[in-house]
Amino acid sequence: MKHLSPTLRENRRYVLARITPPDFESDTRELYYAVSDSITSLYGDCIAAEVHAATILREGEYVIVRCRRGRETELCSAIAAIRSINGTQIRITAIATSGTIAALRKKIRPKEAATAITCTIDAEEQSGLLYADGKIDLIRRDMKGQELVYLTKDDMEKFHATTTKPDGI
Amino acid sequence: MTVTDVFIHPFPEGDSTLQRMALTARECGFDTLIAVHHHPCEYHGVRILQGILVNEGTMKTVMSAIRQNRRAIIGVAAGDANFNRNLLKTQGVHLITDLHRSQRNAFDQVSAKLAAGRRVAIHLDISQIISCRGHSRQKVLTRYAELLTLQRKFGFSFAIGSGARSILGQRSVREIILLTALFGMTKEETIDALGTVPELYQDTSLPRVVV
Repeated sequence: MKHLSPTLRENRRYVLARITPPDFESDTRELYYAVSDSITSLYGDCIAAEVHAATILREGEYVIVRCRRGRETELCSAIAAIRSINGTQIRITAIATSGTIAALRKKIRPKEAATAITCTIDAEEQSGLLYADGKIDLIRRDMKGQELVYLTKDDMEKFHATTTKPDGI
Repeated sequence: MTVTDVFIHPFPEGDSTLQRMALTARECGFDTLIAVHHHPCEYHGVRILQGILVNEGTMKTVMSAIRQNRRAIIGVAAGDANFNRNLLKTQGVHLITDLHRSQRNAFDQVSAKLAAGRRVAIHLDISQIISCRGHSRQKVLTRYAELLTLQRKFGFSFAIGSGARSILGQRSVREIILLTALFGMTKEETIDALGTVPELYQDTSLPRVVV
């Protein structure tokens, strides 16, 4: 098969974005639908076709999204307007734009190490993740289900909470 | 240059504590936050100012809020044209919020002139652009574009906020610039609007007579 000559091939740009919370589980297809839906909702089908977005890969909390050159602004706006995927609230932040995937891969930082902890608040045990910078993502479970609560280590004092690691320390 | 996120709703209203939201705000490029129903303080180098939102559309409630919270940034939800003009004439009101919910004639050129003269800012809630879809979002964008036209002519101030109830609702300065561009705001105008509130707060700390 004869390939298109470089002058006829469409120019593309790649956008590196970070997903919060970092442990959000979804495949690239779900992320693609979220991005595509957001572009269509903000700009309509015609612009969405021109943006020609696609999710290329996901590495940990990072995702690389492709678009046509000159349409990066629309793509980044649409990414900023994403609020949830499958009913789970998330935030996707565009970090960098480049013409090559390799350049964006260099910007991907290793996943921040988190320690699984158990917090005791008002005699109720709740599990969570403690990050090196003092952030805590607490999973609060009750009759209605479970929800994430975002706090810091300093906040634990206000709740009169005690924190223990899985090894009991 | 001060960069302020106007009206965030930390725990217990939202799912993130004030300290965690301050940490996220710093990462997002903000140095000041206005937290609804939280006392002024400073966390992680981010200045927290107290914000009060008055949603009941009566002047009695507004006056009561002004008397009780003399060192807070007071935002009042917009109502009809008469109510809004009364608000603009009231000393102690810093921001008019929720103008996207009011009628088109509720904030006209007379109100715009008053807002510019009395130094009352108009609050633009970015969360409305993010959370609304379809017709509701179109309505918000249209209303904000109309307000922008008035602002360019009469020169009153805008105050932009993420309206976040969680760290997942907070947006960076760059994202806010992108989202405000959706209704035609330029980067310079957005940066100006992000720096509006501390000027209002300086006026708040001065002694004043509330009639």
